[in-house]
Amino acid sequence: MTIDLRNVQGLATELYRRRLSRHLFFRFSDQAGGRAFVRSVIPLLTDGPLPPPDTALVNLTLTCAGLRQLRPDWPLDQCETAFLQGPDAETLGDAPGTTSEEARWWERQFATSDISCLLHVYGNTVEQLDERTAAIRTMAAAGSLRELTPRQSGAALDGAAFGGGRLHFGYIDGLSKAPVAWDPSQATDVTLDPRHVVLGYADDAVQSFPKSGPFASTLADSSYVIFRWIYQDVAAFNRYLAAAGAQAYPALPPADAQELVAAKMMGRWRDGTPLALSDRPGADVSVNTFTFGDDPKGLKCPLTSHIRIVNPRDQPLDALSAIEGVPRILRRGMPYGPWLDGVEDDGVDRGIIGLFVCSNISRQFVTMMRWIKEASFSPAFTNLRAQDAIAGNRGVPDASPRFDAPTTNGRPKYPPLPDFLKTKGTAYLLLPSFSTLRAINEP
Amino acid sequence: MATALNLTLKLKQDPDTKQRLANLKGAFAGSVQPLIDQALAESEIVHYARVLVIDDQYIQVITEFDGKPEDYTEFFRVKLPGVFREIFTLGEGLPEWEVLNNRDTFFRESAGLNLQSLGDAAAGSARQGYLFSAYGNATVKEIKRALAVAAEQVS
Repeated sequence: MTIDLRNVQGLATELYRRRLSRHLFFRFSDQAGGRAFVRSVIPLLTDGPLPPPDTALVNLTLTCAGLRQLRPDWPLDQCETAFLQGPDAETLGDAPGTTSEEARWWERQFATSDISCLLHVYGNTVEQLDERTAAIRTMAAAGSLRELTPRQSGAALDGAAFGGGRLHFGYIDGLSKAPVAWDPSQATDVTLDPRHVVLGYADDAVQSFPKSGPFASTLADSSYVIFRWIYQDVAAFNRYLAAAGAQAYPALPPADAQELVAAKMMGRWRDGTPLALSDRPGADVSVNTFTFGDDPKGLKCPLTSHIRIVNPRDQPLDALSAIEGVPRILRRGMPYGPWLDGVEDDGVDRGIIGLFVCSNISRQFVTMMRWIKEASFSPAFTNLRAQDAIAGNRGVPDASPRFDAPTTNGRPKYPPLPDFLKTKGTAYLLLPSFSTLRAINEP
Repeated sequence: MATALNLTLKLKQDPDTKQRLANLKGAFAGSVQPLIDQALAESEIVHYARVLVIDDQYIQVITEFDGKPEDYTEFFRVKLPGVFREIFTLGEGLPEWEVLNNRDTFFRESAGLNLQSLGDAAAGSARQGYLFSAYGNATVKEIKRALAVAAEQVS
């Protein structure tokens, strides 16, 4: 099974090296206008092979509602149930009554069910984004689409990279990405089977839906995408580093103590060095073959550090989780909002716009979110209500705010973990392949 | 809080189904129950479970479990394929087992057969209906660990 990358939208095949991004939300008014829009936008879309370095890139995703508007005759009930039903906020850890609850998503500008499609634009200059945005909006107007603005200010949802792969909170990102073996002859122990990324090739070992038959062929080389708009409370994070550093490591200079706290929470030093490989920063961050099997109590890398929750590697799983193993997913994130130093919040919105590409939303994405919400998937855990140290929502009923970072010399006492993140919106989307896009426009 | 499963299938009434139901009843304690017992224990998420037949008209699988329903159904589809094949092929109006026997369809059909209890959920999903718990949100794993600690203290 070799995937023709010219049939796959580039969002699934490449981690775009662009400085800027923009995400435009639209609602179709009717079938004819929606189809006309999709037809007109296809020439703008970026396919799988690596694009030239300085061009603008565009991708299109569709919600289930949008796809249903375009093709009410398609047997969409063969798609995965999660895609049909849309995100269940509570299951994802966005608990009711917390600042991440679904009622607050999209700054209360619209409901997730209002979205028909998104256009994702990437470029290196504002002019590139604006030029593509203008072209897309002209096509949208021609198809009578209504643009949905997820910000109360009316501004578009724009991302801007800081350079060097750094995100808010100061960590280097993008170090754990496994290459996809699009050509099976390139598969190795560390590559990802493309059946985890694209639809149309499911079997009993790697299930995706539609599973087989003509409709699976129609959606072949398409992917599911989870769009997550996440606010990051940088001031709260910096305050926590200061407080936890002073409390847990009083013998260290404050700056060193804070860096150690940051490393323990992520499982990597902020320069990317994995704690599993080094007790100090500055090691080779390109090594991605480290494991946790020699660290069953989390003495080197805490059990609930972020990278150990979302990819516990060789850590034993409980019987329930072992059925399907560690979920693998492609992450395509970019920060938004200005950099903030210090412990005082400036009231400006900032965070990350995350796009997760997979072939099975429930098995890959929802499982990962469940593990973030409640770290009970391995017999290694002693506190079954602990959460991901960075990404957990402490407002989940009975969630434990305790963070354990034991050492051979004892158990440093950390202050209770507050919330560092807030979900501002989630959508389950289809990233249609070019053959799927052509099929949408067939009579 | 635990999630209630009240899986309820209306039984087909043809002679073959009646005979297979009789066979299931006869074999349950000796050959089916041990398999279920082993899988339930291994899962560490099921609080209680039982299978009922009502007047040979309905069969029910009733459990209370921790966690996400998709994980629950997938675990038991994989661990007990023979048992669920037998039960689901007794039911009226269901797809063939070959169609049902995958992660998503099995979950969706099971969810469709899950009767909601009367009343409102005290906590957790609003779609569950009323479920009383004497021990709040404690999970099977937490209860087993607490009991092990208590037993150690007694001894």
